[in-house]
Amino acid sequence: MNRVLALLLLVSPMLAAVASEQSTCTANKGAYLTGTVTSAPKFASGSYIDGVETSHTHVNLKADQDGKTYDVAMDNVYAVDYVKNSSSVPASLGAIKVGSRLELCGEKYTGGDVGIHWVHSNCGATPTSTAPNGWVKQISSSGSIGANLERSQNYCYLWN
Amino acid sequence: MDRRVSNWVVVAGIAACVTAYVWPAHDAPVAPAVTTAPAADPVAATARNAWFSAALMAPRPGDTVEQEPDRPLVARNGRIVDLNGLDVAQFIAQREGAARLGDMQAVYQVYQAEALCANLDAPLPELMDDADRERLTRARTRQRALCANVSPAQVQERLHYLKLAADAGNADAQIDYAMEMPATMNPDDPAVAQWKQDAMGYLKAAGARCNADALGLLSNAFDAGSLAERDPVLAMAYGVASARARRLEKTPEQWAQQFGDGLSEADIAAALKQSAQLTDGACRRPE
Repeated sequence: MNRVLALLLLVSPMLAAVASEQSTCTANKGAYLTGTVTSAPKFASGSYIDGVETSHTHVNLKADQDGKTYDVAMDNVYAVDYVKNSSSVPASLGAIKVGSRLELCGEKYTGGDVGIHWVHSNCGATPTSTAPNGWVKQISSSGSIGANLERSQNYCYLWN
Repeated sequence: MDRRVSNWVVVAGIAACVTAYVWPAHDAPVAPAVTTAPAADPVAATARNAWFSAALMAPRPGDTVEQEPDRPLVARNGRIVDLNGLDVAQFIAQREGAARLGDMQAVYQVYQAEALCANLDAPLPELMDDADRERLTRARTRQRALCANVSPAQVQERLHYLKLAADAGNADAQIDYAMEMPATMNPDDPAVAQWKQDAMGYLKAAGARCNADALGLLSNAFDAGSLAERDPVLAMAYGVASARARRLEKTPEQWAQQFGDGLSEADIAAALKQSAQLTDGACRRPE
Protein backbone atom coordinates (compact mmCIF):
# COMPACT_ATOMS: atom_id res chain seq x y z
CA MET A 1 0.00 0.00 0.00
CA ASN A 2 2.79 2.38 0.97
CA ARG A 3 4.60 1.55 -2.27
CA VAL A 4 1.50 2.35 -4.29
CA LEU A 5 1.13 5.66 -2.50
CA ALA A 6 4.80 6.47 -3.05
CA LEU A 7 4.45 5.65 -6.75
CA LEU A 8 1.37 7.84 -7.03
CA LEU A 9 3.18 10.69 -5.33
CA LEU A 10 6.04 10.26 -7.78
CA VAL A 11 3.91 10.04 -10.89
CA SER A 12 1.20 12.60 -10.13
CA PRO A 13 3.35 15.71 -10.75
CA MET A 14 4.33 14.31 -14.17
CA LEU A 15 0.70 13.58 -15.01
CA ALA A 16 -0.25 17.07 -13.87
CA ALA A 17 2.50 18.57 -16.06
CA VAL A 18 1.30 16.62 -19.10
CA ALA A 19 -2.31 17.68 -18.45
CA SER A 20 -1.19 21.29 -18.17
CA GLU A 21 0.77 21.05 -21.43
CA GLN A 22 -2.20 19.51 -23.17
CA SER A 23 -4.55 22.25 -21.98
CA THR A 24 -2.05 24.92 -23.05
CA CYS A 25 -1.90 23.32 -26.50
CA THR A 26 -5.70 23.29 -26.67
CA ALA A 27 -5.76 26.97 -25.69
CA ASN A 28 -3.20 27.55 -28.46
CA LYS A 29 -5.67 25.85 -30.86
CA GLY A 30 -3.26 23.00 -31.55
CA ALA A 31 -3.52 19.23 -31.77
CA TYR A 32 -1.52 17.57 -29.00
CA LEU A 33 0.62 14.47 -29.48
CA THR A 34 3.25 12.68 -27.49
CA GLY A 35 5.20 9.68 -28.67
CA THR A 36 8.42 7.95 -29.54
CA VAL A 37 10.59 8.89 -32.50
CA THR A 38 11.00 6.00 -34.92
CA SER A 39 13.19 7.56 -37.63
CA ALA A 40 16.25 9.81 -37.56
CA PRO A 41 15.87 13.47 -38.63
CA LYS A 42 15.95 14.04 -42.38
CA PHE A 43 16.29 17.28 -44.34
CA ALA A 44 13.74 18.38 -46.92
CA SER A 45 14.38 21.31 -49.23
CA GLY A 46 11.79 24.04 -49.48
CA SER A 47 10.79 27.02 -51.54
CA TYR A 48 12.49 30.40 -51.18
CA ILE A 49 10.74 33.41 -49.72
CA ASP A 50 12.71 36.67 -49.93
CA GLY A 51 15.93 34.70 -50.40
CA VAL A 52 15.34 32.41 -47.42
CA GLU A 53 14.76 28.70 -47.97
CA THR A 54 11.82 27.36 -45.98
CA SER A 55 13.33 23.91 -45.50
CA HIS A 56 12.06 21.31 -43.06
CA THR A 57 13.33 18.53 -40.85
CA HIS A 58 11.22 15.39 -40.70
CA VAL A 59 11.02 12.56 -38.20
CA ASN A 60 8.45 9.81 -37.74
CA LEU A 61 6.74 9.56 -34.39
CA LYS A 62 4.61 6.71 -33.05
CA ALA A 63 1.91 8.49 -31.07
CA ASP A 64 0.87 7.42 -27.58
CA GLN A 65 -2.67 8.63 -28.21
CA ASP A 66 -3.66 6.43 -31.17
CA GLY A 67 -0.66 4.24 -32.00
CA LYS A 68 -0.38 5.78 -35.47
CA THR A 69 2.95 6.80 -36.97
CA TYR A 70 3.00 10.52 -37.81
CA ASP A 71 5.31 12.35 -40.17
CA VAL A 72 6.48 15.33 -38.10
CA ALA A 73 7.41 18.29 -40.32
CA MET A 74 9.46 20.87 -38.42
CA ASP A 75 10.28 24.22 -40.05
CA ASN A 76 14.03 24.79 -39.80
CA VAL A 77 13.71 28.59 -39.70
CA TYR A 78 12.09 28.37 -36.26
CA ALA A 79 15.07 26.56 -34.70
CA VAL A 80 17.21 28.94 -32.63
CA ASP A 81 20.34 27.56 -34.27
CA TYR A 82 19.03 27.72 -37.84
CA VAL A 83 21.74 28.80 -40.26
CA LYS A 84 20.23 30.74 -43.13
CA ASN A 85 19.88 28.63 -46.29
CA SER A 86 21.94 25.81 -44.87
CA SER A 87 21.15 22.48 -46.47
CA SER A 88 21.60 20.60 -43.24
CA VAL A 89 19.46 19.85 -40.24
CA PRO A 90 19.88 22.43 -37.42
CA ALA A 91 21.90 20.89 -34.59
CA SER A 92 19.07 21.26 -32.07
CA LEU A 93 16.71 19.25 -34.30
CA GLY A 94 19.47 16.83 -35.28
CA ALA A 95 19.81 15.99 -31.59
CA ILE A 96 16.46 14.17 -31.79
CA LYS A 97 17.31 10.48 -31.89
CA VAL A 98 15.39 7.31 -32.67
CA GLY A 99 13.80 6.41 -29.35
CA SER A 100 13.60 10.04 -28.18
CA ARG A 101 10.30 11.06 -26.67
CA LEU A 102 8.65 14.18 -28.07
CA GLU A 103 5.72 16.35 -27.16
CA LEU A 104 4.13 18.13 -30.11
CA CYS A 105 1.53 20.82 -30.50
CA GLY A 106 0.57 21.63 -34.07
CA GLU A 107 -1.87 20.92 -36.85
CA LYS A 108 -2.49 17.37 -37.96
CA TYR A 109 -2.70 16.76 -41.67
CA THR A 110 -3.45 13.91 -44.00
CA GLY A 111 -2.40 13.39 -47.58
CA GLY A 112 -1.67 9.73 -47.98
CA ASP A 113 0.23 9.48 -44.72
CA VAL A 114 -0.77 11.06 -41.46
CA GLY A 115 1.39 13.86 -40.18
CA ILE A 116 1.63 16.94 -38.04
CA HIS A 117 3.08 20.30 -38.99
CA TRP A 118 2.94 23.90 -37.76
CA VAL A 119 4.73 22.67 -34.64
CA HIS A 120 6.24 26.11 -34.08
CA SER A 121 5.57 29.56 -32.72
CA ASN A 122 2.89 31.45 -34.63
CA CYS A 123 4.77 34.73 -34.30
CA GLY A 124 2.39 36.28 -31.82
CA ALA A 125 -0.64 36.07 -34.10
CA THR A 126 -3.97 34.99 -32.64
CA PRO A 127 -3.86 31.20 -32.89
CA THR A 128 -6.38 29.28 -34.97
CA SER A 129 -6.86 25.58 -35.56
CA THR A 130 -5.03 25.88 -38.89
CA ALA A 131 -2.31 28.13 -37.47
CA PRO A 132 -1.85 27.15 -33.83
CA ASN A 133 0.84 28.46 -31.52
CA GLY A 134 2.71 25.18 -31.59
CA TRP A 135 5.84 23.52 -30.32
CA VAL A 136 8.27 20.61 -30.37
CA LYS A 137 9.61 19.65 -26.94
CA GLN A 138 11.80 16.76 -25.90
CA ILE A 139 10.61 14.67 -22.96
CA SER A 140 13.53 13.43 -20.90
CA SER A 141 13.75 9.93 -19.44
CA SER A 142 12.75 11.42 -16.07
CA GLY A 143 9.61 12.86 -17.66
CA SER A 144 10.65 16.49 -17.56
CA ILE A 145 9.68 18.55 -20.59
CA GLY A 146 12.27 20.65 -22.38
CA ALA A 147 12.06 24.03 -24.10
CA ASN A 148 10.31 24.50 -27.41
CA LEU A 149 12.83 23.62 -30.14
CA GLU A 150 10.81 25.67 -32.63
CA ARG A 151 10.67 29.01 -30.84
CA SER A 152 12.88 31.38 -32.85
CA GLN A 153 10.97 34.31 -34.31
CA ASN A 154 13.74 35.80 -36.43
CA TYR A 155 12.08 34.87 -39.69
CA CYS A 156 8.49 35.78 -38.79
CA TYR A 157 8.94 38.81 -41.05
CA LEU A 158 8.84 36.52 -44.08
CA TRP A 159 5.12 36.10 -43.51
CA ASN A 160 4.29 39.54 -42.16
CA MET B 1 -32.06 6.48 -71.69
CA ASP B 2 -30.34 3.27 -72.86
CA ARG B 3 -28.78 1.61 -69.80
CA ARG B 4 -25.36 1.14 -71.52
CA VAL B 5 -25.30 4.81 -72.54
CA SER B 6 -26.22 5.87 -69.03
CA ASN B 7 -23.31 3.79 -67.65
CA TRP B 8 -20.91 5.48 -70.09
CA VAL B 9 -22.16 8.88 -68.97
CA VAL B 10 -21.43 7.96 -65.36
CA VAL B 11 -17.94 6.67 -66.27
CA ALA B 12 -17.23 9.81 -68.32
CA GLY B 13 -18.36 12.00 -65.41
CA ILE B 14 -16.06 10.22 -62.98
CA ALA B 15 -13.16 10.48 -65.45
CA ALA B 16 -13.79 14.23 -65.85
CA CYS B 17 -13.80 14.72 -62.08
CA VAL B 18 -10.58 12.75 -61.64
CA THR B 19 -8.92 14.71 -64.46
CA ALA B 20 -10.04 18.02 -63.01
CA TYR B 21 -8.63 17.01 -59.63
CA VAL B 22 -5.30 15.74 -60.90
CA TRP B 23 -4.55 18.16 -63.76
CA PRO B 24 -3.79 21.32 -61.74
CA ALA B 25 -1.38 19.37 -59.52
CA HIS B 26 0.77 18.46 -62.52
CA ASP B 27 0.60 22.04 -63.73
CA ALA B 28 1.58 23.40 -60.32
CA PRO B 29 4.10 26.22 -60.76
CA VAL B 30 7.73 25.42 -60.12
CA ALA B 31 8.64 29.04 -59.40
CA PRO B 32 9.19 30.08 -55.78
CA ALA B 33 6.05 30.35 -53.71
CA VAL B 34 4.23 33.63 -53.94
CA THR B 35 2.44 34.59 -50.76
CA THR B 36 -0.96 36.12 -51.06
CA ALA B 37 -2.51 38.82 -48.94
CA PRO B 38 -4.59 37.14 -46.24
CA ALA B 39 -7.84 38.56 -45.01
CA ALA B 40 -8.08 38.11 -41.28
CA ASP B 41 -4.81 36.86 -39.85
CA PRO B 42 -1.85 38.04 -41.91
CA VAL B 43 0.83 35.95 -40.25
CA ALA B 44 -1.10 32.75 -40.00
CA ALA B 45 -2.90 32.75 -43.30
CA THR B 46 0.06 33.84 -45.42
CA ALA B 47 2.33 31.36 -43.77
CA ARG B 48 -0.22 28.68 -44.42
CA ASN B 49 -0.37 29.61 -48.11
CA ALA B 50 3.41 29.48 -48.27
CA TRP B 51 3.48 26.08 -46.63
CA PHE B 52 0.98 24.64 -49.02
CA SER B 53 2.73 26.26 -51.99
CA ALA B 54 5.91 24.60 -50.81
CA ALA B 55 4.10 21.31 -50.44
CA LEU B 56 2.73 21.63 -53.97
CA MET B 57 6.21 22.35 -55.27
CA ALA B 58 7.72 19.30 -53.64
CA PRO B 59 9.01 16.90 -56.29
CA ARG B 60 6.61 14.08 -57.11
CA PRO B 61 7.51 10.60 -58.25
CA GLY B 62 6.25 11.30 -61.78
CA ASP B 63 8.17 14.53 -62.25
CA THR B 64 11.20 14.54 -64.47
CA VAL B 65 14.46 16.08 -63.30
CA GLU B 66 14.24 18.73 -66.05
CA GLN B 67 11.03 20.14 -64.56
CA GLU B 68 12.65 20.97 -61.24
CA PRO B 69 14.11 24.40 -60.64
CA ASP B 70 17.82 24.76 -59.96
CA ARG B 71 18.70 25.57 -56.40
CA PRO B 72 20.22 29.03 -56.09
CA LEU B 73 23.95 29.34 -55.41
CA VAL B 74 24.38 29.70 -51.68
CA ALA B 75 27.66 30.81 -50.10
CA ARG B 76 28.96 29.66 -46.73
CA ASN B 77 27.41 32.73 -45.10
CA GLY B 78 23.93 31.70 -46.28
CA ARG B 79 23.63 34.44 -48.88
CA ILE B 80 22.50 33.74 -52.41
CA VAL B 81 25.24 34.73 -54.84
CA ASP B 82 24.78 36.07 -58.36
CA LEU B 83 27.99 35.98 -60.40
CA ASN B 84 26.49 37.76 -63.42
CA GLY B 85 27.21 34.79 -65.66
CA LEU B 86 30.90 34.59 -64.71
CA ASP B 87 32.69 31.88 -62.85
CA VAL B 88 34.13 32.73 -59.45
CA ALA B 89 37.69 33.25 -60.69
CA GLN B 90 36.50 35.63 -63.43
CA PHE B 91 34.29 37.48 -60.95
CA ILE B 92 37.19 37.92 -58.53
CA ALA B 93 39.61 38.95 -61.29
CA GLN B 94 37.30 41.84 -62.23
CA ARG B 95 37.31 43.21 -58.68
CA GLU B 96 40.50 42.09 -57.01
CA GLY B 97 42.56 45.10 -58.10
CA ALA B 98 40.05 47.52 -56.62
CA ALA B 99 39.77 45.41 -53.50
CA ARG B 100 43.53 45.49 -52.98
CA LEU B 101 43.41 49.27 -53.32
CA GLY B 102 40.87 49.44 -50.49
CA ASP B 103 37.58 49.75 -52.38
CA MET B 104 35.31 48.36 -49.68
CA GLN B 105 32.51 47.46 -52.06
CA ALA B 106 34.97 45.39 -54.11
CA VAL B 107 36.39 43.89 -50.92
CA TYR B 108 32.98 42.63 -49.90
CA GLN B 109 32.16 41.34 -53.39
CA VAL B 110 35.41 39.37 -53.57
CA TYR B 111 34.69 37.91 -50.14
CA GLN B 112 31.18 36.98 -51.20
CA ALA B 113 32.35 35.15 -54.31
CA GLU B 114 35.11 33.32 -52.44
CA ALA B 115 32.60 32.30 -49.77
CA LEU B 116 30.69 30.44 -52.47
CA CYS B 117 33.67 28.08 -52.73
CA ALA B 118 34.02 27.55 -48.98
CA ASN B 119 31.32 24.97 -48.42
CA LEU B 120 31.99 22.56 -51.28
CA ASP B 121 33.06 19.75 -48.99
CA ALA B 122 30.20 20.01 -46.50
CA PRO B 123 28.53 16.61 -46.33
CA LEU B 124 25.07 16.31 -47.79
CA PRO B 125 22.40 15.72 -45.16
CA GLU B 126 20.12 12.72 -44.78
CA LEU B 127 17.33 13.63 -47.16
CA MET B 128 13.65 12.87 -47.31
CA ASP B 129 13.67 11.65 -50.90
CA ASP B 130 15.88 10.84 -53.87
CA ALA B 131 14.66 13.75 -55.99
CA ASP B 132 15.80 16.16 -53.29
CA ARG B 133 19.20 14.44 -53.14
CA GLU B 134 19.46 14.70 -56.91
CA ARG B 135 18.79 18.44 -56.81
CA LEU B 136 21.27 19.06 -54.01
CA THR B 137 23.93 16.99 -55.74
CA ARG B 138 23.33 18.84 -59.00
CA ALA B 139 23.65 22.20 -57.22
CA ARG B 140 26.89 21.09 -55.57
CA THR B 141 28.28 19.95 -58.95
CA ARG B 142 27.39 23.32 -60.48
CA GLN B 143 29.06 25.09 -57.58
CA ARG B 144 32.22 22.99 -57.94
CA ALA B 145 32.41 23.85 -61.64
CA LEU B 146 32.11 27.57 -60.89
CA CYS B 147 34.88 27.27 -58.29
CA ALA B 148 37.18 25.16 -60.45
CA ASN B 149 39.76 27.91 -60.94
CA VAL B 150 39.76 29.18 -57.38
CA SER B 151 42.68 28.13 -55.20
CA PRO B 152 42.42 26.99 -51.57
CA ALA B 153 44.50 30.06 -50.68
CA GLN B 154 41.82 32.31 -52.18
CA VAL B 155 39.13 30.51 -50.24
CA GLN B 156 41.13 31.06 -47.06
CA GLU B 157 41.81 34.68 -48.01
CA ARG B 158 38.08 35.44 -47.92
CA LEU B 159 38.20 35.77 -44.13
CA HIS B 160 40.75 38.56 -44.47
CA TYR B 161 38.46 40.41 -46.86
CA LEU B 162 35.47 39.71 -44.64
CA LYS B 163 37.18 41.24 -41.62
CA LEU B 164 38.22 44.28 -43.65
CA ALA B 165 34.63 44.88 -44.72
CA ALA B 166 33.27 44.23 -41.22
CA ASP B 167 35.81 46.58 -39.64
CA ALA B 168 34.82 49.22 -42.19
CA GLY B 169 31.26 49.05 -40.86
CA ASN B 170 29.58 46.99 -43.58
CA ALA B 171 26.58 45.55 -41.68
CA ASP B 172 26.20 42.62 -44.09
CA ALA B 173 29.84 41.68 -43.51
CA GLN B 174 29.35 42.03 -39.75
CA ILE B 175 26.49 39.55 -39.92
CA ASP B 176 28.43 37.26 -42.27
CA TYR B 177 31.28 37.12 -39.77
CA ALA B 178 28.87 35.53 -37.29
CA MET B 179 27.58 33.15 -39.96
CA GLU B 180 31.13 32.07 -40.88
CA MET B 181 31.47 30.00 -37.74
CA PRO B 182 34.56 27.83 -37.34
CA ALA B 183 34.33 24.32 -38.75
CA THR B 184 34.66 22.81 -35.30
CA MET B 185 33.23 24.52 -32.25
CA ASN B 186 35.54 23.18 -29.55
CA PRO B 187 34.84 25.52 -26.61
CA ASP B 188 38.40 25.06 -25.33
CA ASP B 189 39.89 26.30 -28.59
CA PRO B 190 41.13 29.92 -28.15
CA ALA B 191 40.33 30.61 -31.81
CA VAL B 192 36.69 29.67 -31.19
CA ALA B 193 36.54 31.91 -28.11
CA GLN B 194 38.03 34.77 -30.13
CA TRP B 195 35.58 34.22 -32.97
CA LYS B 196 32.64 34.30 -30.55
CA GLN B 197 33.86 37.53 -29.02
CA ASP B 198 34.42 39.14 -32.42
CA ALA B 199 31.09 37.87 -33.77
CA MET B 200 29.21 39.35 -30.80
CA GLY B 201 31.04 42.65 -31.26
CA TYR B 202 30.15 42.84 -34.93
CA LEU B 203 26.52 41.87 -34.36
CA LYS B 204 26.18 44.50 -31.65
CA ALA B 205 27.75 47.09 -33.96
CA ALA B 206 25.23 46.26 -36.70
CA GLY B 207 22.42 46.12 -34.15
CA ALA B 208 23.36 49.55 -32.87
CA ARG B 209 22.53 50.80 -36.37
CA CYS B 210 19.08 49.18 -36.17
CA ASN B 211 19.92 46.18 -38.35
CA ALA B 212 16.98 43.83 -37.76
CA ASP B 213 18.87 40.70 -38.85
CA ALA B 214 21.72 41.40 -36.45
CA LEU B 215 19.31 42.09 -33.59
CA GLY B 216 17.52 38.82 -34.35
CA LEU B 217 20.77 36.86 -34.38
CA LEU B 218 21.67 38.40 -31.04
CA SER B 219 18.31 37.27 -29.68
CA ASN B 220 19.02 33.72 -30.80
CA ALA B 221 22.58 33.90 -29.48
CA PHE B 222 21.33 34.76 -25.98
CA ASP B 223 18.49 32.25 -26.26
CA ALA B 224 20.61 29.30 -27.35
CA GLY B 225 23.73 30.36 -25.44
CA SER B 226 25.74 29.85 -28.61
CA LEU B 227 27.87 33.00 -28.82
CA ALA B 228 27.37 34.26 -25.29
CA GLU B 229 26.11 32.95 -21.99
CA ARG B 230 22.42 32.12 -22.08
CA ASP B 231 20.28 35.07 -20.98
CA PRO B 232 16.51 34.80 -21.55
CA VAL B 233 15.94 38.47 -20.66
CA LEU B 234 18.40 39.66 -23.30
CA ALA B 235 16.98 37.10 -25.74
CA MET B 236 13.58 38.75 -25.33
CA ALA B 237 15.02 42.28 -25.41
CA TYR B 238 16.82 41.64 -28.71
CA GLY B 239 13.85 39.70 -30.13
CA VAL B 240 11.52 42.64 -29.52
CA ALA B 241 14.18 45.05 -30.80
CA SER B 242 14.51 43.04 -34.01
CA ALA B 243 10.74 43.13 -34.56
CA ARG B 244 10.68 46.86 -33.81
CA ALA B 245 13.52 47.40 -36.27
CA ARG B 246 11.15 45.93 -38.86
CA ARG B 247 8.65 48.60 -37.80
CA LEU B 248 6.37 46.21 -35.96
CA GLU B 249 4.71 47.85 -32.98
CA LYS B 250 2.73 46.05 -30.30
CA THR B 251 1.52 46.69 -26.78
CA PRO B 252 3.74 45.54 -23.87
CA GLU B 253 1.19 42.78 -23.19
CA GLN B 254 1.44 41.56 -26.78
CA TRP B 255 5.26 41.58 -26.69
CA ALA B 256 5.11 39.68 -23.40
CA GLN B 257 2.80 37.10 -24.93
CA GLN B 258 5.01 36.69 -28.00
CA PHE B 259 8.47 36.68 -26.43
CA GLY B 260 8.01 36.32 -22.67
CA ASP B 261 7.42 32.59 -22.38
CA GLY B 262 8.78 31.39 -19.03
CA LEU B 263 9.82 34.86 -17.83
CA SER B 264 8.56 36.58 -14.69
CA GLU B 265 6.75 39.91 -14.89
CA ALA B 266 9.86 41.65 -13.57
CA ASP B 267 12.03 39.98 -16.23
CA ILE B 268 9.59 40.97 -18.97
CA ALA B 269 9.57 44.56 -17.76
CA ALA B 270 13.38 44.56 -17.73
CA ALA B 271 13.49 43.06 -21.24
CA LEU B 272 11.08 45.66 -22.63
CA LYS B 273 13.08 48.46 -21.04
CA GLN B 274 16.31 47.14 -22.58
CA SER B 275 14.59 46.66 -25.92
CA ALA B 276 13.49 50.31 -25.86
CA GLN B 277 17.05 51.37 -25.06
CA LEU B 278 18.33 49.30 -27.99
CA THR B 279 15.93 50.74 -30.52
CA ASP B 280 15.07 54.25 -29.36
CA GLY B 281 18.37 55.68 -30.43
CA ALA B 282 19.38 53.28 -33.18
CA CYS B 283 16.07 53.08 -34.97
CA ARG B 284 14.96 56.70 -34.71
CA ARG B 285 14.16 57.94 -38.16
CA PRO B 286 14.14 61.51 -39.39
CA GLU B 287 10.81 63.29 -38.89
